[in-house]
Amino acid sequence: MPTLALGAILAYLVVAPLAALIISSLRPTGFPLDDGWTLGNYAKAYGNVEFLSLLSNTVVFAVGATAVAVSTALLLAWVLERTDVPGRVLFRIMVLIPIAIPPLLLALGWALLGNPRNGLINQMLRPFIDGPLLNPYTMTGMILIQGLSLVPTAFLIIAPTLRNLDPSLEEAARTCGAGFLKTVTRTVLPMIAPALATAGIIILIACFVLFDIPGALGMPSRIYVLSTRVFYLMNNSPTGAPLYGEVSALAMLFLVMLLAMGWAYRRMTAQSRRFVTVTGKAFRPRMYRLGPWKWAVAGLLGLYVLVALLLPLGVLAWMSLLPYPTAPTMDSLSLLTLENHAGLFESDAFVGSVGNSLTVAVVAATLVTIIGGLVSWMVVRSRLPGRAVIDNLAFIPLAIPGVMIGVALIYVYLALGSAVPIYGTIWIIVAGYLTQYLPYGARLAGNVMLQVHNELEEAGRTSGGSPAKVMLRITLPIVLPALLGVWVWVASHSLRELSTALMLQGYDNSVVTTLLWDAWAGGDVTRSAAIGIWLIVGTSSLLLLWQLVSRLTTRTATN
Amino acid sequence: MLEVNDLQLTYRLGSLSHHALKGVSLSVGRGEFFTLLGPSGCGKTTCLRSIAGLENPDTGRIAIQGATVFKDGASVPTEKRDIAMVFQSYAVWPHMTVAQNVAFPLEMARVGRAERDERVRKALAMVGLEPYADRSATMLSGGQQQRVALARALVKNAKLILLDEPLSNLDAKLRDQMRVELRELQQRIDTTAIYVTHDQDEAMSMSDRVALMRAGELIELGNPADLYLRPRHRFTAEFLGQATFLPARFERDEERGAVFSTTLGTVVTTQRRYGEASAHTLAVRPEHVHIGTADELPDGLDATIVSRLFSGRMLEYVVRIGETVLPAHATSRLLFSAGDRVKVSIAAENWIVLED
Ligand SMILES: Nc1ncnc2c1ncn2[C@@H]1O[C@H](COP(=O)(O)OP(=O)(O)OP(=O)(O)O)[C@@H](O)[C@H]1O
Ligand SMILES: [Mg+2]
Repeated sequence: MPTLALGAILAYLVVAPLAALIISSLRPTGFPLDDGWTLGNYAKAYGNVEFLSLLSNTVVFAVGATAVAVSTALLLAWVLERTDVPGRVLFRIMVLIPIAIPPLLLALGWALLGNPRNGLINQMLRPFIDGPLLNPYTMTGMILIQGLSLVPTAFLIIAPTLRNLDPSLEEAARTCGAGFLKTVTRTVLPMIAPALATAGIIILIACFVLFDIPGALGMPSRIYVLSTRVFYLMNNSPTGAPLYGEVSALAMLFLVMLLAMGWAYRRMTAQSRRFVTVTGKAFRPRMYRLGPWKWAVAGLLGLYVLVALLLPLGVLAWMSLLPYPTAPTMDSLSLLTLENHAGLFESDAFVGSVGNSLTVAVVAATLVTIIGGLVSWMVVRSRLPGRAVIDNLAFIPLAIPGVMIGVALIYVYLALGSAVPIYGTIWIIVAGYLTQYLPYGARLAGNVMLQVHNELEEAGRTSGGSPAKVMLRITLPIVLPALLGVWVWVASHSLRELSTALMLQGYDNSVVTTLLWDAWAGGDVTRSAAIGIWLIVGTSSLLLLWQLVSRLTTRTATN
Repeated sequence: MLEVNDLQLTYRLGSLSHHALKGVSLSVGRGEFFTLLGPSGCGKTTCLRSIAGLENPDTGRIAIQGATVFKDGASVPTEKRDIAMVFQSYAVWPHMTVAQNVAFPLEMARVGRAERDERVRKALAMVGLEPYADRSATMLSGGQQQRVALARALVKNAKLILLDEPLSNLDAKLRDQMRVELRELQQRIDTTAIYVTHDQDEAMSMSDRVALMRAGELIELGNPADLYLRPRHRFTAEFLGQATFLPARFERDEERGAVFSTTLGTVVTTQRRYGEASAHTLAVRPEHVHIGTADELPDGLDATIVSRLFSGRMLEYVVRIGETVLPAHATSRLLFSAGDRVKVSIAAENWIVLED
């Protein structure tokens, strides 16, 4: 019974959109409910030179950004976890803060800094060198900025492994006469290889599906990757009408590719999970002494923080306080004004979109937490039949780009029509986020479940509690604080999500990110900067709140 | 009280499978302290969990107090079985106080408020935790958590208590103390206990009867003294203590027992041989190998001391008799040194005739 109910929900959230996408790719009109079958869409989508450049662009972008993110994160993690560089605590916080910053804003920040014509850095350097120094509207720019935006994610996966590396293993290698380099390559690298591979593949998948940065930086200079191409074909296609069939056909190849990667990722993490053992053995990690180099290394760390955080945020804050975009000089200081911000709160569009964003975030986060919690309980804890199917179903959306989920939901809800009349409302966005964040919700909740020793539940059963009672009285109270973490994760990602919301945009369901996108696309730099600042305020206060709550709950638990 | 018949269980993990219980049968009487003993991975926990209904065996039958709770796949759910269980990890619920933990089984049984409080108080008193009733369960030491788990199992007044290595996470001193307390409690409240451990000292000192398991099979079952002094199987003899094994050939039966010829010469035993085979194995425990001077043991075998290890409480010698080397444990009454020529004797009743 519970399997069936959960299966039905997942079928609705995952199978229906996926089926709509597949069927649509085989229809002449591209609408799943229309008549006729054809392979023409595939011919159109793949049978041109543009496809090859699209494929190579996408791969270059994804692999490049992954390499940047993982290698930077590895360096940062090693320096911050294993050396005596000064200011480690502060730097660690600074490296993680960008998690609260939507990637779109990083792109906008760097666009404002490095725009070849009037980017601030280029302007300031103009007297010294000719030609613009920076241009983020290029493949290299996209790769670097996307890579930067994913560093915190990679850092979070890699740093704990480095921290928990038993130093006696390294010491053993050194006592065997291995030098520093040998020690690192022969013992440290193999031991962190699983974490590196996990970080690499999850980020690679993300890079294939992300939209924000390629959308903001690549589209203006006509450098398309998969997600932006789909967006383009749906919204600004040469013929004027959305090319549904072609988009669906295009989606198929990437769907297969991404699902294959997702499967590889699962295999890897499933194995590592099996070997997870917290030994509880306390040790002090071995710290490498940097000696005279430590100030140079600290300087490099400072440079990283400048590039990844302070410069892009600073330029946004600066622009949001100006009546028109201009470089920070003594003269322009007198121009500073709060008018942009005041104007936002007087505009119905902004206030409405804030309301929409909050509603969407709260509802989506709550539903994802509930469904993800149930899925993970079933997969991790129960012995119910069919749990492998549920597990796989809940995982699939990880490999579907947000724009494609958007497209698929358009099909589904146009087809459902008046039966579920949510097309063009904020509820279709909620539906999109449910599908999109379900894999993460289930994963995160699953980690929570794994930490709860199953003997805690079994003790409930041997005490005479039925499964439902045990769930209610024991499992739920124990996992609730941790599930709150899942809720915050989904809520903050829903707040900053752009591509799905953009695809599903109707007349009155604009959210903060789509409003920001429209303002930016309309050339209103100062207004978009102001919106961006408030978006950051929203996401970071959510994370701050969570920090407070979790601090409080751990304190009561230990009291 | 508890009947287990031919229990079979196979774990399946994808294409891997592991035959964890290969036809285990046992029968436990009312009020007995019954221990499942065996090396790690032999299936003790699996067997116990099957009795609790936390694992579903493939075939076989389990009956508790005459009521069948499992038969060939049809199973009564855990919460409907009249059992209580103490888990290896204690499984004390971190979001409840000590008293709430202990009260939970009574709540589930819909015991009224007043009676519930009274029984919780009694159970906590029994394990000496009364002053801690309102503490958060996470604020207790390992030994205290262990007692909470115990109180939670006792409060139900279940006729059958299952304990899965409840003492293995405690330090040695506390463990010794808890062994005694546990055994006393079990006798005082007159319940039947099924106890799982891999520690032979624990099993021997606490149990009425011990079942020895290996690789999913029940090898031998009996009271501790019999299992130690008269094991039928080499595995039992080895697992319960040190022993020397000698290949032996059956010579003849005498009035007291069978006579064998071994590398130590002719050996008279007080046991009969198993079956008709002529090749057998004999075993002897080091503390039954007596060492003495030629005056003390004039009929003893000639032997040489190979080595000596002084461990305070006793002396651990290794002696050589002809080509045979065997350990011998003695009290510190007499001191011999390596190289000394001594006499060795082993009493007929101390020779163990093994079936395999
Ligand atoms: N859920 C499971 N899935 C697959 N195999 C299992 C599972 N649980 C136990 N096993 C295997 O079954 C065998 C018996 O396990 P069991 O836990 O009963 O051993 P045990 O005798 O209690 O050992 P220990 O003294 O280490 O607790 C082991 O080889 C174990 O690897
Ligand atoms: Mg066990």
